[in-house]
Amino acid sequence: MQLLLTAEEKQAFETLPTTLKDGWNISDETSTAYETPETLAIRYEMSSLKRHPQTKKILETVKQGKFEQAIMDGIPEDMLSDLFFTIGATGLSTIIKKLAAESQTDDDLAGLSSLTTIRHQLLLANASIHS
Amino acid sequence: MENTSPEYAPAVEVPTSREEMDGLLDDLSLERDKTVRNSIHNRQAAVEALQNAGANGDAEHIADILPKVDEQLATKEAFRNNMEVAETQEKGLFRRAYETIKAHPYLTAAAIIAIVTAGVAGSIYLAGGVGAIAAAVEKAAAYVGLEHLYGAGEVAGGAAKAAESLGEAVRTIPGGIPDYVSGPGMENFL
Repeated sequence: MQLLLTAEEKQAFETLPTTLKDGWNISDETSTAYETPETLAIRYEMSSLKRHPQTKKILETVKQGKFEQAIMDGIPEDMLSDLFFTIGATGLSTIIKKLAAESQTDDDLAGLSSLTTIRHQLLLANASIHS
Repeated sequence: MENTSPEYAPAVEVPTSREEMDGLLDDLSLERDKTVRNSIHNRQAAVEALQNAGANGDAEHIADILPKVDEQLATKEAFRNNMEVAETQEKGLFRRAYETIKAHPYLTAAAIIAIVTAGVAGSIYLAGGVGAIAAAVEKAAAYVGLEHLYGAGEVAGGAAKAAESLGEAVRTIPGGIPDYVSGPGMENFL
């Protein structure tokens, strides 16, 4: 299993228990094609998340001042793609860094691996448009 | 019940897909430069066409961002193509990433911010422009320590209401609000 981490994230990962880290291959994430604030603002405006029925449920819950893990259930696959694109490699990096430092289970690391792969594909996409 | 007030029912929406972008340009009889990406001819014609289509006060804003939206649609397509290839090597990437996010309240809050902000963005930009969206994101992000991601500024108008509701929600995150975070790309936001 592979993790694509930046130098800073690798430092955070190294603080995890050795038994948890065993078996993971760490590769360097060296791309720097992160989104600008303007790009993220555009992505929010063009996001199709606002049209999803599940988004409306979440909005209604949040409007009531509630925070419930359960409101995130039932999110369809196509909404996930749009979610990750909307927050971009920049937003994903904040999540990855946090998770790299606080993972407690193999499932956490499997999720971290997926997140780093998704970020890498976002960075490649960002770079391809501006190359 | 669906909110059908004018400010929540835009006649012209920012395209969310290539098909919608092409449809909008066709509807407005506008042309995309075939050789130079992201160039949409004749801004004034675009503004007038958008006004005629009912965009009213938002016509200039939409005309100005259409080339940038076009560019981001291309980026989105590239991302989806990349992910299709990645999924052939490792299935369930999105689902596994999301299940992990759901398992951590802090990460869930970050995802909710993204969804809520995207959900209200259409109505907020009609009320206050793109700056208000950025302010709403910033205000909401502050509650979970992500404000460095979105920069500093004041919150105004409808954006404040949306962000305050979100703020009330994320204040109840188990374990409290974490410290500020930093990471690659953050230098763009500081």
